[in-house]
Amino acid sequence: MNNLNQIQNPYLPRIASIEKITQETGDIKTFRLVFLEGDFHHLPGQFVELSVFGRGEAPISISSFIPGENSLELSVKKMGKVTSYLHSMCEGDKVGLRGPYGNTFPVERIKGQNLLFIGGGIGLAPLRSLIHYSFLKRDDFGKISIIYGARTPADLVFKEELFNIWSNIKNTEVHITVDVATNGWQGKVGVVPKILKELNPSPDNTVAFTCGPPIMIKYSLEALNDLNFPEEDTVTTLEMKMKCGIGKCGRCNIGNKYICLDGPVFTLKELKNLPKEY
Amino acid sequence: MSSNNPETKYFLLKKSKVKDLLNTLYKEFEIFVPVEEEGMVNFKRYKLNNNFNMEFTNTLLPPKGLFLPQQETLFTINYKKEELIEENLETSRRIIFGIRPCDSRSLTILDEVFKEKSEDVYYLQKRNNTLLIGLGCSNPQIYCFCSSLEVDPGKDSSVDIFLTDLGEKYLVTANTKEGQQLIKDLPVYFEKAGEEEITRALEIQSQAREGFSVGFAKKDTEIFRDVEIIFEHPIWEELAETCLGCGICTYLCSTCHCFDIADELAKNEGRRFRCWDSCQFFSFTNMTSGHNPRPNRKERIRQRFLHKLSYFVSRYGSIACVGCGRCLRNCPVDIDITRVIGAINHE
Amino acid sequence: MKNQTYIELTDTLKQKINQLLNEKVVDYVIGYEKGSLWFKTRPFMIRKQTEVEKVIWNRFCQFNLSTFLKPISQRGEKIGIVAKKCDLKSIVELIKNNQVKKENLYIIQVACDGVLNWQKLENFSGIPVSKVIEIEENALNLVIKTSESSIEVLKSDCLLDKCLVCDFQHSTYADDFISISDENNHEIRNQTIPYFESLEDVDYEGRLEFWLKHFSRCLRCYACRNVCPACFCPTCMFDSQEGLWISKESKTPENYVYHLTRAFHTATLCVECGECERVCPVNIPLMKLNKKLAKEVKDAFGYQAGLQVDELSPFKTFCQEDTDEFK
Ligand SMILES: Cc1cc2nc3c(=O)[nH]c(=O)nc-3n(C[C@H](O)[C@H](O)[C@H](O)COP(=O)(O)OP(=O)(O)OC[C@H]3O[C@@H](n4cnc5c(N)ncnc54)[C@H](O)[C@@H]3O)c2cc1C
Ligand code: SF4
Ligand code: SF4
Ligand code: SF4
Ligand code: SF4
Ligand code: SF4
Ligand code: FES
Repeated sequence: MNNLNQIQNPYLPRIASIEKITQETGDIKTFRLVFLEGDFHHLPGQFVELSVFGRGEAPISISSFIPGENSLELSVKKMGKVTSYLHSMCEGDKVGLRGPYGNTFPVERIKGQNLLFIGGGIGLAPLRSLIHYSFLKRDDFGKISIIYGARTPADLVFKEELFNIWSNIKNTEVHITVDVATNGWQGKVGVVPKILKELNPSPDNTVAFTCGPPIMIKYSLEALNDLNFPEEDTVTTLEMKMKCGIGKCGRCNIGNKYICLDGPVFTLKELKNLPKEY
Repeated sequence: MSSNNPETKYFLLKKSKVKDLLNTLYKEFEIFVPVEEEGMVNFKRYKLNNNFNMEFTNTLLPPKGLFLPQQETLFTINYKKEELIEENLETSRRIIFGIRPCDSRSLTILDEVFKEKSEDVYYLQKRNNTLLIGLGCSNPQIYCFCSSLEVDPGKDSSVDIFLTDLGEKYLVTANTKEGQQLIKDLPVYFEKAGEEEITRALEIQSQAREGFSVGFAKKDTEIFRDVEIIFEHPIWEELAETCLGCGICTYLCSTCHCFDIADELAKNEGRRFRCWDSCQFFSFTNMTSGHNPRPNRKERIRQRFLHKLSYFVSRYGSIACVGCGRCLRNCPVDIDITRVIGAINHE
Repeated sequence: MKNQTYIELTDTLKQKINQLLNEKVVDYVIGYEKGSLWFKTRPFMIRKQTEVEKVIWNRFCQFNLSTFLKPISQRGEKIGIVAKKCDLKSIVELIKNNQVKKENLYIIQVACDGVLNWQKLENFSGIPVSKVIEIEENALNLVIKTSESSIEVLKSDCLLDKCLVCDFQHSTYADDFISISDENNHEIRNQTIPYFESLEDVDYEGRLEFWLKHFSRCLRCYACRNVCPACFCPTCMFDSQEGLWISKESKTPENYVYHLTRAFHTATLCVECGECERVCPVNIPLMKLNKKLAKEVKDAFGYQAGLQVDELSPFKTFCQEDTDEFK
């Protein structure tokens, strides 16, 4: 009989402390977390299981890429039990983290290519890890375009980066749009897929990444198809209800794929081989 | 779960000595035996001189619960000290006495899941700590259809020790080193088997495949490889009309492993636990946003069948069903996996 | 299983269903078809005339089909339903509680001589169902045949519990009554069998111990709730939000809360069809609880569920004379 004591208990979270909280919108906050002990390594696209002890766990995308430090950022929308309680927590409070889990954006394969990010609402959170990554290795990539939209100006996340940082990086374009203009909004108005069509990006040597509400993803994928983006260069992330995060609890499958293990990142080509049940 | 030893050895164990044997093993092991209570036979923890029933064909509940309990604490949380207290996973060594071939096969199927990538210590610890003493079948229940799957009801080489019923006694086959050691340590109970008994046992073992009432042909399961076709089959709609969406077929299934994880909050101490869950429940996939990828019984019953017959096969290489027949026996509306497989192929 | 009466009833039933579909009186009929094994039947939605051939009516049609009239499974179509005498009570309750409209229903009552319980059959004959080749019936007995022998057992020993005290005679709610003679042969019922051991004489500790023992093994598979025609809430409180009322763990306090709450919710609606107890995979004697509540309701308000469409339940009426024991 083997000795299992050496095997790590995958259900045991590591403790992290909330270092900084940024109020992004009325119901979205970004939490910068620091592990009390040990390193943390991940790649863009992965997620963690976040524990609020006594309330439960929720899968949350890592929305940052901060190499060399044992810290990460999570941008969380207040929804149910765990996320609501998290929103009431303060800097210095402790949470638990398991992971990183899931596959990653294809960071190796996209070297040397142009990157097109299409995000909506909180959907910019998982894309942001790759955006950070690509700016960190800026010379590995060609042009970077970011199209981001939210319902109203008040619903835009990562405003500081969107308006003041990312657009100042070389060979980078940022297009921000809202569905409904309020508070004297001067920028673009219109849903993300519409803006995408108007911008008419070239599919040449370009990989598109999209994440957002299901309806936005659906129409953005259609628009990308109209723009002749090949299916294998159109990348999205999927969301299914999760508990274990490690392919055991059996609930996050689409066909024979567990989204927690084999996803959440899929190319449109892979997606087309899955049953339509997401 | 132990190392296989190619050199198997045959012994005899008198039925009249089984209780003494259990009483001896009891000192060192936690033993689970089939016990009849409230009109059901189930594996229960053996206490000195307890009664048990080896004349059952199968237990109502599958033995998976001894490895994946219906509820299990993962750790407790001490708020004051901000620390997590891991459950003590060390258990005494255990024996399951009388596990049927279908159910021991179900454990090797569950192993695939619990070993994939991140190893599930809670399951594997129990698995590694447990010696299986299997019992061959010569009297299949009317619901059994293990012979349609890769299970031999007469002979099971995946267990540590295997018993074949010879009437007054069992022919004992030691399949693993651990099994052999156990027999070697207790010579008073096990005598060497003679040629005649071995021959008789082999005969009984080879006849075990007869006498099944339900089942299907192996080639009828091939159709499930083509997910695109099978996914849109009209049968799911038909089954959904009468399926009650209860948890019986999944909770009682030997191979279903789905669970939920949640926290319990008490004053100074919290607890994280996991407990069985079922893809037949609406809440299984319902997200906080209100979006549910499997909102109706149609999608949910399709998930159950396709998970077993298609998704599991392409992921792990075998069908996630061992033909124990529990779902068929207990489904209130008589939804029958063998009929579903037959109907898809022949109707 | 040979029984000429049932064969004839089946034929008449098929003709009736054929006619209903043919004349488009209903969109579909809920009936029974043969199950996967000889002693099983399954609920069957008959939509096409080609399917009518599969309809059966026999001594194993235990399912109370009225549960398929719960709004959750309805699609606003006109439904024909095959009903035993006892099932009519559930239909009455569903109509009464606005879960289904009488004008959308066509009720086909079929003469029933009691439904057999296969587990009792095994227990009383000592023959496993897998060994049975044929069963014949005479006036009082079942003749159970195997390839080697034949054994007679009393029919009344093998009936479902509820059949032993089946007293509901009303058939005015049925649109049709399919029978051969006028009514059923009641002699086979041995009314003296103490089929229901009440806990009335057991003290509080004893009752607590009794229920703790049984509820502790409940799997919370929710089959009892889902099969129950009285549990017609669109969203059950135990499904309303994850872990809001009780956690998913099936342990004593949660199981207790589940069962007591369900019993209270179904009091005045439960017609004692026994389906919950029948489907329970771990043999929890749920009918003891239901019968106790039905008795309390009857003693306090003189009310019995399922008898009259126009009689309001005590939950929906207020009466000066009602006893007020909660001081
Ligand atoms: C891969 C992945 C990445 C995600 N990234 C983010 C993110 O970056 N920011 C963010 O705000 N939200 C994200 N979500 C959604 C987030 O997980 C849910 O909003 C959250 O689980 C709700 O939990 P709750 O406890 O507040 O709600 P409750 O209603 O109390 O949920 C109970 C439990 O059900 C499960 N659950 C419920 N809804 C979902 C869901 N939509 N997805 C997965 N599990 C669910 C969780 O285990 C949750 O703890 C992500 C989901 C997935 C699958
Ligand atoms: S046991 Fe039967 S009724 Fe219950 S969910 Fe399974 S198939 Fe449906
Ligand atoms: S699907 Fe049914 S027969 Fe197969 S292993 Fe599960 S319970 Fe047994
Ligand atoms: S059939 Fe359903 S409950 Fe069983 S293992 Fe598959 S997904 Fe889980
Ligand atoms: S399914 Fe096969 S192995 Fe299992 S109890 Fe029945 S006959 Fe035995
Ligand atoms: S059917 Fe039985 S096991 Fe299932 S929830 Fe009801 S009482 Fe519990
Ligand atoms: S979250 Fe448990 S299997 Fe994916």
